[in-house]
Amino acid sequence: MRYSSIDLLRTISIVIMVVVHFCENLAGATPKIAGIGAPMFMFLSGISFRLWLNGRSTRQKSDETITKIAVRRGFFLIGLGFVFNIFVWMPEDVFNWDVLTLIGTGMICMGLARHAPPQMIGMVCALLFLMGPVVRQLTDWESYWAEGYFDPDFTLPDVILGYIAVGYFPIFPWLLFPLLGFSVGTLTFGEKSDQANAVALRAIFVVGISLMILAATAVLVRYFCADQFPNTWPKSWTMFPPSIEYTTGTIGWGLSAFSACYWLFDLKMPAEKFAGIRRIAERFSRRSLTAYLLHHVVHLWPLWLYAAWQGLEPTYYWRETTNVYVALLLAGGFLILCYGFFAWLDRNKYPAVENLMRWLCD
Amino acid sequence: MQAEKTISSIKSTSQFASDDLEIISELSLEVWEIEFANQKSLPPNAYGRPFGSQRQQHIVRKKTTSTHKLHRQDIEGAGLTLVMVPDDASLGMATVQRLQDWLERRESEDSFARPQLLALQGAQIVWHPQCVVIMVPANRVQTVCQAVLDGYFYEAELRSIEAALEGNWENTLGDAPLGFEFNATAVSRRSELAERFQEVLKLRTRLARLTSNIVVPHVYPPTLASQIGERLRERLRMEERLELVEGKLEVQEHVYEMCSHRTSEYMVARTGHHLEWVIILLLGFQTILWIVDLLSTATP
Repeated sequence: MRYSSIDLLRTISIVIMVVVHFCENLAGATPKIAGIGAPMFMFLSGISFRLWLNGRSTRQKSDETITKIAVRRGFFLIGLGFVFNIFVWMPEDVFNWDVLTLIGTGMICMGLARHAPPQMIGMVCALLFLMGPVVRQLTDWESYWAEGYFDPDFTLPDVILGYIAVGYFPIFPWLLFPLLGFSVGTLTFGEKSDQANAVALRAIFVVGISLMILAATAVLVRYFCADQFPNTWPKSWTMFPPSIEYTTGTIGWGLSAFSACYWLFDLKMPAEKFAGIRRIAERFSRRSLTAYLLHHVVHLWPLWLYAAWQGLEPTYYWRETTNVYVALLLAGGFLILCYGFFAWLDRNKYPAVENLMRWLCD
Repeated sequence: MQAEKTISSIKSTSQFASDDLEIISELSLEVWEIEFANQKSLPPNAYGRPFGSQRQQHIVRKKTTSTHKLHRQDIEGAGLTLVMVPDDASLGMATVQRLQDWLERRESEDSFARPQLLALQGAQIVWHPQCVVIMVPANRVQTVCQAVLDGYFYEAELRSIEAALEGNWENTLGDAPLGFEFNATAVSRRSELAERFQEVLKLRTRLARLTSNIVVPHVYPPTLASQIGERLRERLRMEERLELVEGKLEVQEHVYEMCSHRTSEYMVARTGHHLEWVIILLLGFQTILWIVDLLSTATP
């Protein structure tokens, strides 16, 4: 069973991701909406894992089979992340620990810990949240990001530290998003997805809003009372590294947006309302992995290939290809063409990356 | 002639009410709606004296009407209907007999017990789970009614326990596997199991309190009230039924006792298991911090 709220939020995350990446990689400009797509996407991956566990066909499988499928899918995503890094970014960026490796790790953790009580998962999330700044301090995060992007040496310590603390999406604290999503999914849908827990939904919304208010308050206090804080303190709202305010705010955003959208679109509204938008969202949501890979290929490979053809460094035109408006236009064009492509795939029943994952891992 | 005419008119009326929904009597019947109240203070419309081990059970005569016609609806209420037949030499016995036959006619195939007729020292008592018919000389009305209603109360209580036990069998059989092994999938059913266990304990308590009112030694010298009580218990086989109920309740208790043992063993083991995992996780995080620190210092 598909939930329009989850499809919509995932589509919004995809749209934000495409717009932000196009603007950053083509125009070197970071839009204001940057930073809220990735946490939501990871949070939804946890909820989707819970819904997959509750699915009728999955429930008929044995415990051992489910664990194997989850672990295989996790390793598939991690492997895909490495392959993606080599062929899309550059071979030297293979260990940049991007979102695919994080979601793959999250899937393995959720598969192994799915029977753990919610309190234990909550404790792990809390530890990931609290220890994030500590591990970044221990590893001297700034030294790995001196150029404004993750730039490690090709050594084993740097590879491991990148995975744990200093990469683009390291374990600390990003792993808490899929785990939190899984816990919220369990709380909302239970283990059978027969009836939503309205009380839990309300509580999730309240907690989400509270966290967002807390984060906003912290950011405002740092802004208006900047002279009260030492200069050496980390900046208040940054995605790289994910500051405490940012992590708190995006957790709140995930909780409140999910609970509100689920209540509105799946419980309150009839399924026929906004049917067109629901259909579009479903198509994007079902092909989110393909959309992620495809949009990178579409806007990065031309840069590398053109620069190589010109006899220049492949990254020569990176961030300096065009201006923001053209980048936005290109992003919009990509989304429209991508939708058309997915519709063509569905009409002809052609497989995509998601089908490959299921074929290999299920 | 008059009596024959009356009997034939009753018969013809009965034949006229072909669905047996009502009966018409030549004699004026006094119909009482009876309920039982369990409280310390005397309720309004209380009848007779309080009974029970703590003298807290009261007979409450909710409504009293006089009628020549009795309809099935009158006796199908939640409480008991008591029909007092006047002690008439010519028509009294016939009326009692007709009422007994009328009560015996079943409404459905799975209807309940047959009415029992007790004749004792001039008192005629027809007992039926929904309706009791009494014909007794005026000077013995209170004694006989008190004894009959006391007996009715205990029988109704026993019947209620029997019905509850019968209704529990499906659940008991469904829960029996958990008496051997409790697992993670059954954790969500703990509150349900606890409720059923409590229900069975409540039944046990009720049965224990009822036993002393059913297994009663003979009173010497016997009185009319004690004889009515003994005869009722004998005719309704209350002692045998009590033994059967004991046996059934024991089985259900045993199942839920085993379930509660398995549940508490599992939950204790699970809590311990969780605490172990918390410690492992904390140690794991500590190890990760140590590795991070080591690698950071190792990196030039």
